[in-house]
Amino acid sequence: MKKKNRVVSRIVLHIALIFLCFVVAFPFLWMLTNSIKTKDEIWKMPPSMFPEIAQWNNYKEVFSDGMFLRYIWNSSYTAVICTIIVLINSALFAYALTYIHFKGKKVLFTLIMATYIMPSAATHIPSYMILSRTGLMNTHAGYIISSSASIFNIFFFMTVFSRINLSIINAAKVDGAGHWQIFWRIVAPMSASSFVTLGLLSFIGNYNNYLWPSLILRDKEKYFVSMGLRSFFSSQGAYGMKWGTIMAACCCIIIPLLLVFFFCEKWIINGITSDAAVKE
Amino acid sequence: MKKSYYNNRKKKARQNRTKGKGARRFKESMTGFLFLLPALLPLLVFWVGPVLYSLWLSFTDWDMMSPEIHFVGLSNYKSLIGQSDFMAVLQNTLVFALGSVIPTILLGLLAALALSSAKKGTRIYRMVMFAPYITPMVAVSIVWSWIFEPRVGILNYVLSFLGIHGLKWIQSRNTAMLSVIIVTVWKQIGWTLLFYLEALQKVPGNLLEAAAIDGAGKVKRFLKITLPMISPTTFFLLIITTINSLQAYDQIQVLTQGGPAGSTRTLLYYYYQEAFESFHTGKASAVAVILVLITVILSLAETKVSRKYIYYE
Repeated sequence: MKKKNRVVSRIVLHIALIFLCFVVAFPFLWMLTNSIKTKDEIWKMPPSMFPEIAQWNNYKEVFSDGMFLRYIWNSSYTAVICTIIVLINSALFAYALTYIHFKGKKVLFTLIMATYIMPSAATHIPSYMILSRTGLMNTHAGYIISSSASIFNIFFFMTVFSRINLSIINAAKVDGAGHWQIFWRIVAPMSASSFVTLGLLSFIGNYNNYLWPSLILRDKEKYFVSMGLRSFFSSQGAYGMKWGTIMAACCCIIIPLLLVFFFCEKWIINGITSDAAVKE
Repeated sequence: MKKSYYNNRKKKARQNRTKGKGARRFKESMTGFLFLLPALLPLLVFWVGPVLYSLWLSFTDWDMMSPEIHFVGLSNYKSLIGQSDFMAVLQNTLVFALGSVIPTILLGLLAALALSSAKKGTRIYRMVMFAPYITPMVAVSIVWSWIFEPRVGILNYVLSFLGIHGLKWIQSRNTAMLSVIIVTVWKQIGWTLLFYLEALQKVPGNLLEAAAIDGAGKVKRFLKITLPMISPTTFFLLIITTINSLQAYDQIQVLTQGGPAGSTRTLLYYYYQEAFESFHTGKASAVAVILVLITVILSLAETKVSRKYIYYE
């Protein structure tokens, strides 16, 4: 009797979980099925989950002017460059704070701590001025330069590095290795998995970024995916007729990211909840 | 091998002695500086400098174009506080913060409890529930605005079975904030879920078993053991999601642009309108400073309390 009860409660639990997952995933499913519906099916009442025949015209329309490929390229290549810069300079910075002795370390550490929690909004007006005075407004270079520091990464690396056994580093020092060598030959390889995790998180963050690029990029050819999608959405008219095309456009932006997540899930999730990300 | 190593060390030691302590220290500091430089430069130019400059701008009447900047003291702050617009903005921010933080945490906890008692498929469940978190806010907000569509949107269709008809969602000032909150909560649940899953794993199983043997029911065990044990996580999530809610912009920009009738205009959204639409740079900077102050207070509370917890553990 008791055993039967347990089985029943387990089944109920799984039904509840599946329902919850369905609710959470529903917007993605709805986006997907609506992107292959005809105009009539989209406006049909009562709505149906699936179209009668899958239509690919919406996708053709999205890519007809070639702009979307442009947006995806812009976002991807800038995100890759930003990620590489931020990985290297944050790791070097964290290494110096963990292993190199110099004056003013404490001050620097406090400064970084204080900036960590700053809302980026507080920097936007002056950063905007800097870019416009240096002629970097409306350029990808301007975006990359202004996004080339990540305090989150620095903290993450600091925690990771401080866990490396100090005796290994000391042994290398005794053997005459300099900091540069220790960094590239010992510390970086030993924390390779953190590089992967942070690399993925930085890439996704930059790829999804909307607010700051929308302030500094003006030409349509330079737009990132979120901006391109936003302007596509308004040009189709929020209350207009082309929801199918809009959903197809959303699919083109969201699905690649979901695939990345699907294949790298372990790295991403471990990175988010690891002590390194949380402690400080 | 060993001999050369020994000689090497001796040579090094001799070198060091001749160079002196000061020189060695100087070299070490220089190396440190070079390591710091690549990140320090952008950090100072695009973070530290701008935050300080914003603080200065908040005491001026600058409009982003005019060549002169006048110091006006606290008048930006005074005019903000006297403005009914700004009071509405603060109220919206509070409603949005409470309305998004509490459900995010409660639902995240519920999902984590359900997940941790399921033995099979946890990885897939977790993956599905976390997926919204990594997708771009702009894109998912657009998808949601189609779901919210008043006439043929799927949400109103589903609600019609529950006897709820004709909600206008993002088009009405009564429901616009609710819509923004729904999207925000939907996107964040997976994130809180992850932290709760970690925290629940650390609750010692033998403690729960012992309580069960003593006759404590499921609810009692949860309230007396699990809940107190995960309270540091709850507090951490409470503060971080609140800070995040102050930074919400993308979903508001796509769904409502702060409307209708200013009903979804939060502090941050107001800041962007003042700064980059009206070009009231001084006033906008004052808003930014207020935002910073609130964030600082919240995170100080976080560090204070989490330190206390570590102490008691």
